[in-house]
Amino acid sequence: MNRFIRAVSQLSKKKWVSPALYAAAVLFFLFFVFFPAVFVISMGLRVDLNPEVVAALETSFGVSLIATALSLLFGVPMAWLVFRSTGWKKEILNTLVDMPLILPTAALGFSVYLFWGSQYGLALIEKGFWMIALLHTAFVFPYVVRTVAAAFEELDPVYETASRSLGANTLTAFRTISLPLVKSSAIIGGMLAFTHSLSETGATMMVAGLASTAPMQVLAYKNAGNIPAAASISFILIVFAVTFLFLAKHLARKASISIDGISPRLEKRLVKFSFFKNGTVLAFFFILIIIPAFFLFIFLFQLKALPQADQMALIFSSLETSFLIACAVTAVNLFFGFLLAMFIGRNKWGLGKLFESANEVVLVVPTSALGFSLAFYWSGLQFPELLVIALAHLSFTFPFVVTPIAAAISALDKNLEQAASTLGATPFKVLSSVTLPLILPSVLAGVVMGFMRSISETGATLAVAKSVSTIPVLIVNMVKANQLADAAVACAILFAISFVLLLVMRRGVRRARSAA
Amino acid sequence: MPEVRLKGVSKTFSGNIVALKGMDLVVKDRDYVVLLGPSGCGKTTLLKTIAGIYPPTSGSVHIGARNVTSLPIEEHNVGMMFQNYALFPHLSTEKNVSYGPVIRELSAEKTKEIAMRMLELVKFPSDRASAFPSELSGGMQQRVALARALASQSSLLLLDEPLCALDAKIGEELRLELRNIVKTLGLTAIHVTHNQEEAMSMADTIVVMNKGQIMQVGTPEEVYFKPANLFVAYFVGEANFFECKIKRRTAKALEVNFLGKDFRLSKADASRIPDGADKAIAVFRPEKLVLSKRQPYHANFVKAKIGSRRFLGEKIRYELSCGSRPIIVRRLGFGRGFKTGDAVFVSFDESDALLLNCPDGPIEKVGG
Ligand SMILES: Nc1ncnc2c1ncn2[C@@H]1O[C@H](COP(=O)(O)OP(=O)(O)OP(=O)(O)O)[C@@H](O)[C@H]1O
Ligand SMILES: [Mg+2]
Repeated sequence: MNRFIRAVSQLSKKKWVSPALYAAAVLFFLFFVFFPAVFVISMGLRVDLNPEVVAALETSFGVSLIATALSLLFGVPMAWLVFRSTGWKKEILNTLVDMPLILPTAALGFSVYLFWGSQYGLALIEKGFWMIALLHTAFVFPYVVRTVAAAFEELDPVYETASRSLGANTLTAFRTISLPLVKSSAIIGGMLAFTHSLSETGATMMVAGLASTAPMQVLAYKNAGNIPAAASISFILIVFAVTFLFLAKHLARKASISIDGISPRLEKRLVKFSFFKNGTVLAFFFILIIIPAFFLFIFLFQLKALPQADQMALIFSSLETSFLIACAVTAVNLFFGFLLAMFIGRNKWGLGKLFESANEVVLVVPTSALGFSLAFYWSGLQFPELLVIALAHLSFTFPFVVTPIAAAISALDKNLEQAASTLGATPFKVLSSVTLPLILPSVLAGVVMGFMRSISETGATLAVAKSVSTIPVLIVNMVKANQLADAAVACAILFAISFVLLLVMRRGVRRARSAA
Repeated sequence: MPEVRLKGVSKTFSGNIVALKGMDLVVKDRDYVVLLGPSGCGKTTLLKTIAGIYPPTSGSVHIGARNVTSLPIEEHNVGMMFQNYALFPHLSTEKNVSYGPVIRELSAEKTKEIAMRMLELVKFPSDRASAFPSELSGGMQQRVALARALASQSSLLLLDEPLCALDAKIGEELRLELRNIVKTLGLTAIHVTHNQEEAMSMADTIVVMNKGQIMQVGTPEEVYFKPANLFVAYFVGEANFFECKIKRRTAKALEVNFLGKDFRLSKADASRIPDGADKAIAVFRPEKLVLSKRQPYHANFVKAKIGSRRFLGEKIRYELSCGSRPIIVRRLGFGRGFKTGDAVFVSFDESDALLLNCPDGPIEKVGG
């Protein structure tokens, strides 16, 4: 082992090594991640806007808009609440906000259905548009809160203090100073929420009833053999998602919030109602997010019997498939993703920005469109089904691995690495002894996100799978077949495993952070 | 009339960090007060306590007739210039300056008028008023921060290291301007710095702080020539410290031995050493020592050799060897002066000698 490391270290001194590695990463990204994801665009567009397609698109955009708007409206104050609270209250709020993120979306969808729609819960809302909207709000809300709360944490509190000392009350200071300063994060959070909502397939299928969203329609057309229709919806979804991405990035840079407008005197009176405001936000959070998301467990405790042995076997074989794919894909993505992140973070050959954008495009492409596109990209080669599923997961999880690592690398102080080089360290030694320890938390974060995403995704999997089923796909099928008890047990197992994994990895991240 | 009074103000941060220890201070109306002290001594904390940003752990803060101890920040009504300025990064220069008036809901014309007047007062180029803080140089940012504090129309100005982010030259130019503006507008200013030259050249009153306590309050001359204790003497300006043995102390004179020689001092200030002390530190400012080739006619001299000389422009700084510790002397630089290696007599006027209480440890520690 030692000899191997020494050999690698010596090899890394050769001039051609690093360009060759970067070239490999770029080629991997282009041919295994990017082109497959957007291949459908090259198929030529014959937009087939029949009423069914239009209705599906309307549903999708309507749902995404409602979910994003609600998440921003309540998510920004919620982020403020999380940021402002201290001690154990902060711990609890932080954990609660993260909870729905740990819950795989299929489990979340099932839980939301049980709470709002089934006779085990409130039985208040029929499957359909509004239940989809509720579900989507539940799973995009944490994205907004996380992004905005992180921005609040990074904000230098001196600006707000300065504003207060110039006479502003807390509400005015928030509106004129803190809010504008986190505006770009809120826009980016909103964009992530919107594109995720546009992309979600599996959980949506459980609660859609007679309604149909655009990603669902992609699958439906594909299964029915109506390729032109599936292609045109995929095309529209991709174009819209990418447009939103660049629009949001533009807005984040440009738009500003004026300091005049609402009267500070009025706001001073409103400060007194902050208890009321906090109450509303918390009520929203619990009634629309937390309780529906975890109602599943209440249902679980009412169960009388475990699933039949054959169903259990099915659950475990699907789990095996899911974890096999997730592990393999994450390992490959870690290697190439790390290289591409270096490429982006260091802006190699002046191409960093370009590849950063390309990477973000893959991040926002709705996964069922991605899966559909990818199936065509690889269709010339007769790959086994499992490999195609893995290739799909490779593509859509890749940006999750790259993004945090690239951000950490571009924030890194270059002097540290240069100092190590001047002390005679080989490039490999610099990487392993200086760079890697410093960015390890971000690397682990990327791995965790990519892995979790692979475990819980359904859209792309359904778009390429014929007989193999991953665990979230199995859950969707069980709910559709009304095997609620089986589905609940599968959800619980999946949740338990994800939860433990996440705890382990979080501990790893924390340890890495304190070591760095 | 913003007379600022602090009564027994203490501030303890979490983790038992004592930043201020029972401070009593009165800042007179229209006074330019400089808080001077080493890094970490609690200057910023004191300023923020006056501004209401930190509530004091005990004691009270009064601004004018108001006890502001428990009022929220926005009701303290002070113009504060923050360390590193804290200009709002998302607002243009003009909007930064008009922030205070906008918050007070003055009319649009009035707001604009105040902003423009203040920018003019601090000599900010009016064609850059729409620039954002990140597009301005350090010196310009400093001016904007000052204009913003002035535009709050408070007559109490709090300045936290307003000149420290600038290079020495610009910083020195701005000292005078800053003081002039404060004086022209008839404001009370409390200015924090750890730069003693800045303090000397700007203050009406200097407050020397160390470890959360006030060491001395006085005019620049008092603080420089009559330091209350060894810390002040050490921290403010350069000084020679000679450890001396007290041989006899009578109402008329003090007989001491330092630099290996006996001196009988009848006019030296010995008020700061306690009765019965057998040790003291004799403090001499470098410009109060006289060099000569010929032996002086009085007895207050020692023999020494010029170890090195450094040309400072107006003055020449000599380092002389005499015993273990070098003696520093600063003399005006005209004439031929002395060369390295010259044997000279170092003499002093008795009234320029200041005797301070001797600490237990080595004297270098005091400045630390
Ligand atoms: N918000 C805070 N929380 C905890 N400790 C603090 C806080 N602010 C200051 N301190 C501590 O109080 C002491 C005094 O700090 P302060 O910032 O007032 O010093 P200063 O004299 O302004 O120093 P400098 O010249 O470096 O700005 C220091 O020991 C500092 O660590
Ligand atoms: Mg300070």
